[in-house]
Amino acid sequence: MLSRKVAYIDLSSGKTEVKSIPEKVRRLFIGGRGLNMYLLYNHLKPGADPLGPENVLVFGAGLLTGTAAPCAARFNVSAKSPVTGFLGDSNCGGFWGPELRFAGFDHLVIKGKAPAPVYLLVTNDHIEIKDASHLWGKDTIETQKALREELGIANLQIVCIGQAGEKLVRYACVRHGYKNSAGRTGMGAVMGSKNLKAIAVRGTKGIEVAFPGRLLELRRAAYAEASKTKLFSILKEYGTPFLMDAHQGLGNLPVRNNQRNQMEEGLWEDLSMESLKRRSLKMNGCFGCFVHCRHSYRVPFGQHKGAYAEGPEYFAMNALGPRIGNYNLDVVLVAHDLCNRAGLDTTDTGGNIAWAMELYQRGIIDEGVTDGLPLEWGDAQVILKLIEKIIDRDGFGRLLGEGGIRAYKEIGEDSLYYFMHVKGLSIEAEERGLKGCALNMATASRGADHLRSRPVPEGMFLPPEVLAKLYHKPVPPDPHSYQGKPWMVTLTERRMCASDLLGICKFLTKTFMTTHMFGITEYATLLGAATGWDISPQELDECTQRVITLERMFNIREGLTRADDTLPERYFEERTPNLGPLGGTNIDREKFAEMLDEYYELHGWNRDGMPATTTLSRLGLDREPSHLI
Amino acid sequence: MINPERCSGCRTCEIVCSLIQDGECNPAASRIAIIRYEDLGIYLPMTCQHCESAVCMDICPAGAIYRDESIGAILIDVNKCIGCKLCLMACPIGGVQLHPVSKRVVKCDLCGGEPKCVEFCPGEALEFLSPTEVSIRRKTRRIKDLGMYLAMLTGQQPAERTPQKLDLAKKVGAKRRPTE
Repeated sequence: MLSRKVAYIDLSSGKTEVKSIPEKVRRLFIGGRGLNMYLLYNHLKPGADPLGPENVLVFGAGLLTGTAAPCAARFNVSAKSPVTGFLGDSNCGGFWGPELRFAGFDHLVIKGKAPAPVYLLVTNDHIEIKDASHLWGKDTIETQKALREELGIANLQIVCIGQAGEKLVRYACVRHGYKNSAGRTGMGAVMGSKNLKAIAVRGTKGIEVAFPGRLLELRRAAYAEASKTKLFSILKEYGTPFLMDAHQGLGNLPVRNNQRNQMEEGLWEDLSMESLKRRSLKMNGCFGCFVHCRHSYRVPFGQHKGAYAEGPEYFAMNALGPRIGNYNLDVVLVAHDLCNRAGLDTTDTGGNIAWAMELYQRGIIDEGVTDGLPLEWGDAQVILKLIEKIIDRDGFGRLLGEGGIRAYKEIGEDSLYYFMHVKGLSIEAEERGLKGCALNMATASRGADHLRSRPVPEGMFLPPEVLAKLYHKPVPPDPHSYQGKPWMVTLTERRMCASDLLGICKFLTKTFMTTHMFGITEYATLLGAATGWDISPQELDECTQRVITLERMFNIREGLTRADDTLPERYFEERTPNLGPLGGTNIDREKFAEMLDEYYELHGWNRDGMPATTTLSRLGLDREPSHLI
Repeated sequence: MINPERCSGCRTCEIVCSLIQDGECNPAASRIAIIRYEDLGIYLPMTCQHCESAVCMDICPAGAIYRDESIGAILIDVNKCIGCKLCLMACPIGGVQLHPVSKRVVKCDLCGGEPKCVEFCPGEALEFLSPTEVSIRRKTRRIKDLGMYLAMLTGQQPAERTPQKLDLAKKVGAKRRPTE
């Protein structure tokens, strides 16, 4: 399994080079996100235009992806982000990551720009660049259907972009199958900027496992444990949308661009978990998964009425629901399908539409700016029209497709305050009532993002003993407390990184949404059973620290400073309404600064957020870029 | 026994089968395959059914295919097999296949009586049962899942489900109740 290769594809020259990955590099960065970061840091020159040919796009499967390890389906897509100008990185499930490994590759490094639209066909140890001009202009569903028919290869797995990526909407995403996306930070726009329409993979080479019996035993045990947890019984029936009910109760929803933290009583039932369950056809699952948390539905109205679709996840429902004042499930499902087909990040789409709607509400913009559209909260026609315009880069849609941190310059300085973002990436939820989650948002390496380090147990009102066991030391159980949160965020950050190195779904990660399942010890055991390595939990934990600091180095190289590790001004300036146990609060600037100081200290970084030289040498990063692969 | 309406397409069976048989995770080598209808979200597990009247056994010119009565499995004696692939051609459901790496003719061997795909399937889409159990279990399951399956196959929107169909679905205890 360690013999799988990295391929370097230069789309400008059409040349491909394939190399082995030395085991010593693997021991340092493991795989998936870790090796992606290493490759990106070493192959990308700082200061590149994210939408220019100098950007480097890396696809990488986790080291356990494609094996019998539980829920080991995942891969990462990384590049410099056109949304933020900092690290772009997105994790994706489904079946593409495993297939890449079956074809003999763990990582693809894509450089340059093809002279005309192309797609890559990856088969056993072989990569071909093929003409995609007949696919250009097709949405992500049609593209995959066309490729399947044209190539006639069974079980072909495809990642592709839709019209949004082709047209370089900054937050365009990469899509795979009906459900999965490398959704955030604009990796679809990077593909579009390289004239790369799709990567189709089919492989028939097995992934050797060092101790098959041991791996299966670990899988059995994981399944048995998971079956006893509340989280799994909820996920396999309701998927992540159960969080809509949970957050409505707690009072941390981003209603109408974070102006309110809870939907109005009696009006929100259509978006509840039961409501979606009634609409859902069947729950399906990613490669090797035993949770099966993805919904499926038929588009309720519009151009694609009756078409099969998969999803939505909770955060997509947030973005296309309460965030834009829409409480109607049908509208969420149609908007979600439109975004998926065109390859648009639902979170940034909702975030930018919400921004525009609040500007309209406050009279900062009017119909003159919005091409005649009255941007009333929750207006279905307006929402769907805006999504179309964003995809087409038409008029006001072009502006929204640039993202608020650029578009505000054309609208006016006073408009920036209302764009909810960190580092340019749209906020997904509401964190004023969860101080640890707020710190996660501010410090996550790719911008406002829960998948780097959100300490979800902070808001679960768990007994102190449970929390102490989870975080290896006592931490305050109060979500409003600023104490102990930097440690909670830091530990979560390392654990979530571990799951990204292995390619395992975060739902199995202790400290994310469950107090059970895989911590660092269990991950190290799993890794050992699959690879045959004698790897201790400490060594694996050090790998995660190495990757996290390398990501910091990447961002600093692209101009990141402490000032970027912050929150939307609204979080500091305004208190949420007194709704729910998490309402009626804001983030205190001074206390936030103290949390940030402590977070940096825990990472071995100085007060400006720069890694100390001692940290760099401890983690072996003082020789970066080291050009080992 | 295969319950396709319960298959979520996760392919755990393919991963585990290939790992147990060959020491490598390789769905392409798995003796059980998930046939995917992506545009419907329907997945059909297909594997050797160890036929009562096995065509592969009848057609084999080398006499390499036989039945192990203790577990009811149709097996290939690798020492007698000449790789002529007549069994591949003859099997009506593609239950015999050519291994993509070893190039040998392989098929499901029920893992010696405790099939791993069944053990690891998280969705109860695969079961290993005695003949009498199969019959009654099948009937019960089918009725229970009928409501949901009907909806999927006919692509019905909740609003299009007639009162009669809703009633039937409720009566048979359908797993997924359509909207009231």
